[in-house]
Amino acid sequence: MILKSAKNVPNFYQIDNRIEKAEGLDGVIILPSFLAWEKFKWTHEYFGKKPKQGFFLWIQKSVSQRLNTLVEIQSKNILQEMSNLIFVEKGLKVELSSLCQSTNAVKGKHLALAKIVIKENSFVNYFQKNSWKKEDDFKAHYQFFLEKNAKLKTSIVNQSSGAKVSTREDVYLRGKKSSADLRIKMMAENGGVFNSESFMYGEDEVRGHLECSGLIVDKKSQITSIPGIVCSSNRAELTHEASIGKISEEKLMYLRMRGLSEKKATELIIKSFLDS
Amino acid sequence: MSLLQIKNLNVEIEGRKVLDALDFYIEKGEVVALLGPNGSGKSTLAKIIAGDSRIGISSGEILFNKENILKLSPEERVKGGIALAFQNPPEIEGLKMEDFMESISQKKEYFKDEKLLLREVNKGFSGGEKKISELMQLTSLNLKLIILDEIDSGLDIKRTKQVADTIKKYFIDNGVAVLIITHHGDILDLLKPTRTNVIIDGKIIGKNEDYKSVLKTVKKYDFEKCKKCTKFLSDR
Repeated sequence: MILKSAKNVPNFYQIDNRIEKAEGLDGVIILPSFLAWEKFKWTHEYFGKKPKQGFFLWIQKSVSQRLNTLVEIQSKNILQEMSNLIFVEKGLKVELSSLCQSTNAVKGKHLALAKIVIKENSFVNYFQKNSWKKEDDFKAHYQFFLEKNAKLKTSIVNQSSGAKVSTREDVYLRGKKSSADLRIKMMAENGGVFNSESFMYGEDEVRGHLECSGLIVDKKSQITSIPGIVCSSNRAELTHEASIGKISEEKLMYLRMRGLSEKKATELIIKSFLDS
Repeated sequence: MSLLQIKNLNVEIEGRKVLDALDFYIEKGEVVALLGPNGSGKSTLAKIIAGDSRIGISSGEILFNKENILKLSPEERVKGGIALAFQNPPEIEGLKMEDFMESISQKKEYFKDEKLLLREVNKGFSGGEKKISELMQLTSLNLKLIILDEIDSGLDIKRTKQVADTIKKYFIDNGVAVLIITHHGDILDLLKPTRTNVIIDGKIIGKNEDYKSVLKTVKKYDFEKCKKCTKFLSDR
């Protein structure tokens, strides 16, 4: 399913192991990662080895529209091995949205390593949504590197309906006066299992906030969330919060007292949690 | 036959008797007040009528249109025409009021506060905004009985009048029965109930058709002393 609104039309689109679209625009180079490896030697430092799959976004100019990537598993027993690199040059303002999902219960496996480099004085608003279904296996590692005065606002929303999900985020606030706000949401239902580790590293006169919140919809599901902050300077200001809870009975009762069925009320509460 | 008839209702919460052999009724289209101090069981009664299954009932029955509704879910009770305006509704962050209204409304035309529709459900609402929001929700439903739990608490005179006018226009004038649960009774002058009950320690200790007489008695003797002053209230 391609996202419907024009704002959400993907610039990079992959279904199973097939690239449907990789289309750059003025000031933005978008390529499959293996082509970027061949074309730009400097990327070797970031990819480490020649990538099998994944996308490369090299943003050289501010663009008014949001850049979107969409990676889906639609067929059974597909393995995706993504190696993604997003490189934002100096002094830019960029909005990015990335969606990874299975469209049905197809026992898909998605492994991803994503590096997001934000150069001096740039601001990135990054939204990542991952939605996986029964018996999918999803492992992702996101690394954010911020240079001097770079700013990052990130929201990562992970939904598991019976899938095994393992994620790790590392935010490296390397440059002076860089700052990051990372919010991670996890929703587990139908026996979904989450293992999430999120870390923020501050080196010098930086600011960062990390917030992890989980919602467990049923008794079969499980969420493990380990947030961490690592300060190596007394001028770094880092904070974190974490919470995992079930669906509030008070909210559920309130919505049912407006005539909504228990199922519909639960869906609305989950949606409100993910949208908040 | 009454629209709502409660017979010998007993409720215990954590070993404490919250409602004690309570009998109560409302006729079709009637406006009835229930007056009582904090902790007297008013809100518990309101929630039980609206179907809050978290509250266990020891014994008794609740008949609505002659049907025992105790086993009905909250949503089935709304379908039947019962809804409660909460005193302190929960905040639902991430859910826009306009999306919420679209999910629940059974009518195209209802009382709308356009500014509240743009906000998230009850998030950061002032006391007055909560009451307006609750009324907005109820006016979008097809109802026979509304229960207003402390709808007048924390409101200034202007807001109280706005709330009362909305209740009259959308409910009383359309034959919807109204149960006004109140602590201090200021709104009664505007809604003019036909019967006023006083509840203390989970028991209705008296009732009177003249709400002014009840308010006068309560103001003169306070609720605590009222336990001994049922002679001031006709016990019909």
